[in-house]
Amino acid sequence: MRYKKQLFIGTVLALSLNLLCSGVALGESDQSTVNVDRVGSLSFFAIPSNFDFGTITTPGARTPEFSDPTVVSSNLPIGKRLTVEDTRGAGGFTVTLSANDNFLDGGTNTILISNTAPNDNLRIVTSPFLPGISGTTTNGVIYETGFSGPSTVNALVNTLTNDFSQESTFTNVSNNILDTSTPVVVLDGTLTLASGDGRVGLMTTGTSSMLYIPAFQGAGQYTTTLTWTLSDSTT
Amino acid sequence: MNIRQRLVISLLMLMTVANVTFAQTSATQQTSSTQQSQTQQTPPNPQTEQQKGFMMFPDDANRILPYQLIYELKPGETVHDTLVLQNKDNFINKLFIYAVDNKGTDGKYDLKNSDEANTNKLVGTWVALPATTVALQPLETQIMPINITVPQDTPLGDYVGGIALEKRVPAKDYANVIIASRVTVKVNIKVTDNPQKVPKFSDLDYKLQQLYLPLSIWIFIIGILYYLGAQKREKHAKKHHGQKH
Repeated sequence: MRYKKQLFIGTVLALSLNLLCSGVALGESDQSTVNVDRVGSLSFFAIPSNFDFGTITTPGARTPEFSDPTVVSSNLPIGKRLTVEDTRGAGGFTVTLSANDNFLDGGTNTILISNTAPNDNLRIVTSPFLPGISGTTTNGVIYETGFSGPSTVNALVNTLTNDFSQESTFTNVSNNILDTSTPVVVLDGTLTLASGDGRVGLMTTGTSSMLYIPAFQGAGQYTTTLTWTLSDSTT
Repeated sequence: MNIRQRLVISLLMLMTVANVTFAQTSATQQTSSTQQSQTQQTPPNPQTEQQKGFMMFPDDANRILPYQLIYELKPGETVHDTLVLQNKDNFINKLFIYAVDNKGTDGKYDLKNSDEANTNKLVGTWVALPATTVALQPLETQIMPINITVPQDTPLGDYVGGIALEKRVPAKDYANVIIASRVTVKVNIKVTDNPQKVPKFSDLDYKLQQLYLPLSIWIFIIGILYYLGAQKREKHAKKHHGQKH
């Protein structure tokens, strides 16, 4: 009888502790109005603006052009910010960048985009050098103030320099050549669902790009479309 | 200890275990609710407002990978489902929505771009959407129905594709690179002759979670009262027994 009484008292105490000590179950009373956003959300909080390589004279040799030629030892413009917001608290994500097509001028001229030479013309890098973003930087990704969860997102095309007018800034990075068939993985934040250590908050990096203009390229106004894709990546 | 006491103890123990279990399953919802309330409380100011984007996710999430769509279907079978589309911006977002094949190899999830044809006649063509464009009003949430039909002659196996919600930024100032951004929901379909039901976070779970707190408080109060009553009865019985002797 004594043992059963102790068990009874222990059970009552355990339950009261659960109910009274800021239990997460108590917090569920606040969730009664949630009827749509059941599993949190994953979205682009900020997307880099259109890249512009400016106007150049037809070169006699393959020439690099930069989207941010004036940034030689400072921050990228804030418009080059790429920010993912994850409020799910579970599961991971990836961000990829793909070229929809080659650079076309609307006529017959083309600047080919491929991840193999000699058409490896368009490259992208990421960098944490951005103005006015407060948070903690790990491996090229800024985890903005208020972020919680594992800081394990890999910026796979990350550069450690902040000179975006140098060819080497773009050629010293691996797997950063844009292609029309295979996307570049820019951010890899894959997580397992079972780990229970998902992320909540904003993750930011800056972006910059370089385009090689082939020798004797025909004159024209060249454009292409790049697609940023944000996907759940949970294993 | 009589049968009633045992029953109360068992109930209390069950509630204690359930408390922990429910707390774990609802951990992700707490954060999402916080986010939603923050979004709704932000005063609209289109002039200075930072872009916050848009999102898409399954309406009735499954328990395996809640942010993806998972089905087991027979050849020729059709399934109806819904997606939630949300605009987090304080301005209208005009978006494109489309289903598309996966072009990744070796298990990679690389969806085709919007202008690539679904030549493989796979998941990208199996998904039927009611519209190709959608205009989301500021902070609006829309539910979009989807129908997925596996063609009758589809070989058994696992298939992957996706549904993309995409924003295209129009070219201006002679920019050389036009930007499109999209969020996707991965669609995993197992075509089998013996499809199993994919477990979902059904409405029953949410109702149970909402009922859980008042229910546990009532059982807690009843348990305490019953315990105090039992103590009193026991003391009374001992006293009565002592008096007899």
